[in-house]
Amino acid sequence: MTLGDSRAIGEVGMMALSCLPLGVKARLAAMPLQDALYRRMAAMGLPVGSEVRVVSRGHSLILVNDELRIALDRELAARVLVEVQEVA
Amino acid sequence: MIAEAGGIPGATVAWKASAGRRIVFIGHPNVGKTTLYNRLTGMRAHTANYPGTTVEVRTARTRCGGLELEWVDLPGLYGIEGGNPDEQVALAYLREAAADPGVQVVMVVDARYLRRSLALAAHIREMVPEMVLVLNRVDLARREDVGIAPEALARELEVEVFTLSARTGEGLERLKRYLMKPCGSRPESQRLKDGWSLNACGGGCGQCPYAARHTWASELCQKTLSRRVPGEGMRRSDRWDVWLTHPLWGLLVFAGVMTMLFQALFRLAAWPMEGIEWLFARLAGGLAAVMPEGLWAAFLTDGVIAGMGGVLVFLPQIAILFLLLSLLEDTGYLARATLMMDRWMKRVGLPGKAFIPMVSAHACAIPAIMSTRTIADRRDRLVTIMVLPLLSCSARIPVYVMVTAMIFPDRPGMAGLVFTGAYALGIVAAFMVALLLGKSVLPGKPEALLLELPDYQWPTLSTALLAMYDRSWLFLKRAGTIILGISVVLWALASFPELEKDDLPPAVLQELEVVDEAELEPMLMREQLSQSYLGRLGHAAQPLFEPLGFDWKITVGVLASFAAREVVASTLAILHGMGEDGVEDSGGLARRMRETLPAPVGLSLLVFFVLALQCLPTVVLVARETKSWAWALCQLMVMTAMAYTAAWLVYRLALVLVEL
Repeated sequence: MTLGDSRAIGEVGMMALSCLPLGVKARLAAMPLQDALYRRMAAMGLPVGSEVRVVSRGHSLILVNDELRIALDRELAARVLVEVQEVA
Repeated sequence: MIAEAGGIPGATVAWKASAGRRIVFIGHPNVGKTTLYNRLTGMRAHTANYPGTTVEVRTARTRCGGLELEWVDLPGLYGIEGGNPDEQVALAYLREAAADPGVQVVMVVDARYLRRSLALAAHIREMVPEMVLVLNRVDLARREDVGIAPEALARELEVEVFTLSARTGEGLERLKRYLMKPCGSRPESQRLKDGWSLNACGGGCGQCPYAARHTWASELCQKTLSRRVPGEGMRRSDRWDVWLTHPLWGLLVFAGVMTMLFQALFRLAAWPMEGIEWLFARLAGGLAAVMPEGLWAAFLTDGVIAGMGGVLVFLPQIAILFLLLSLLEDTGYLARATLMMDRWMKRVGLPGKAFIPMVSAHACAIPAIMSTRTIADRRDRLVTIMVLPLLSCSARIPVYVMVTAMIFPDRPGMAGLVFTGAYALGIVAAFMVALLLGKSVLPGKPEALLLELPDYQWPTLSTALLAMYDRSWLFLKRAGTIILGISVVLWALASFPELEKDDLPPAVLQELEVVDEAELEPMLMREQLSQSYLGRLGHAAQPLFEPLGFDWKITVGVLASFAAREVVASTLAILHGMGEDGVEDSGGLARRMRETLPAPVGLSLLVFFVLALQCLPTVVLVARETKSWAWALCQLMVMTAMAYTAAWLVYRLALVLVEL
């Protein structure tokens, strides 16, 4: 099993990060991306398991948590699955 | 390994083992690492290329009680994967430094955002023999009510922990004292805890080091940090971002900031540029007055001094641009500008990160090409490098001024419009070439945007001033030597063979006899240039440029400017019998040229200069950066062909319009 496979396991009740409503806290649950891209996201502070909120959604999303603020391509966000934690 | 990952062949550490120590600064981008480094080393630091690459590493040497210290500021990095050339160099350096017992690594983190830096700290702690952890921005952490327990952190990590603020200087002395202690007087670094190992994973993902590290860092932060809600700095930045990244308001602010940037650039640089021109004219004049007339005097004044002036005159714009860009970057706005532009740049196949190099290219393509190293993807970086020289650099401005003044002498409004049009043509051409490259030789989409948006903050002037100093010095070293060399060669081509009166055609001799004293010298200069090697080359190549409407004089100017654009104005000034002083008064040259040249030729010349790659230093640099002469020569040929075709079209069109 490669890194990509282990992240690709989806679960019921998840949604794409690109669909997450503004202000809703969610956990990054599965990131079936190319290895290099996943590692880059993880190194920047967004590995599987981290919590984020979306504060802005235009052409790109702006994700924040208590320690970082990262702009993310919408196409990329569509490939990341999140698990909703709580509604702000 | 590194060479495979990122194309840095032969990258090795330029460090000869000595009795001294190396203190290496490392950390995420945007944690104030360079501010701390500058605070500790000041003006002693100098920037040098990492061997085999164009990535710059700042180093400084100091002595302290017989101990030689070398301070190294590595480029910021996010992880140990080595994404862009900057990160690869930082990693290559760390890996090699790990074998050197005299290395002390200083890992700098933002005290407010400890958790995400801890994972990287853990990786680096494993790689190197000695590391200390610096929690920077402790003043901001206090203001945002973040409680840190450095002792607990030190205990958990088994490293020395320092809390300080590089900005205010708080806590700096303790770190300084520690770093300057001889190696032996400090406790040996302890055995690493099992939890540090890359293989251990507790994040539910057996093969990924990050999830495990993330979990570990979160647990550690729970023990050592007293805040787990977004701080004031974050909330304030979020509020700003609502406006500054807004699809409409954000774009308006962006347009305003860019207008101000360019206004400041051109207005502020005008005075020092005039000063430099004046100074070098005086210098040449002074030297000519004291030296006996002859070849040596001409070589020094027209070759060397004129060449040096030709380099230095661009320095003010480069210095001011990088001062302003560095200030903007420090505030956090440049990251937002990149975000805003990403959307538009992507449409033509350029990554958002090409935006800052494209701004820089309006001063000079050379620092712009060097700054593409923040782009990780090779395709993205190549497309960016290929289009940067199309943007109007400051060397083209004298030509634009000259030609627009020539075509519209009494209509400054129209002249301004054509001037702006020349700029716009460069930008449009750059986007079109990017689009075409994406559809042909460099297929693919730009890499997805993944960009950290740091908190907004007040910029640090000292950091910006040092960045300006660095950039200016690099420009002088890189472009300066080449431009100076070219100037000397051009001077030789224009000066030999020397004019013999007997060689002059009878018609010219007759003319010489009737002109008055003041006109004599410019006429002789014109005749000298006309029969020099350069002049002969111009006569020979003129048929090639005939379709564009260029006479032999413009052809000489164009040929000379293939080495470096800025010489065209002085060459044309000499050829139109004005002496070299014509350069200082491009309006005067324009008046003279207008008498002999129709407007269609002027427009054709303008378009040719917008699109042609007439800059040898750029060609050399592109070859080095892309590690391929094929790309550099291809770029040169394509841009020349484009310039030729467009100039021909404009010339034909203008001829038709004039007849109407």
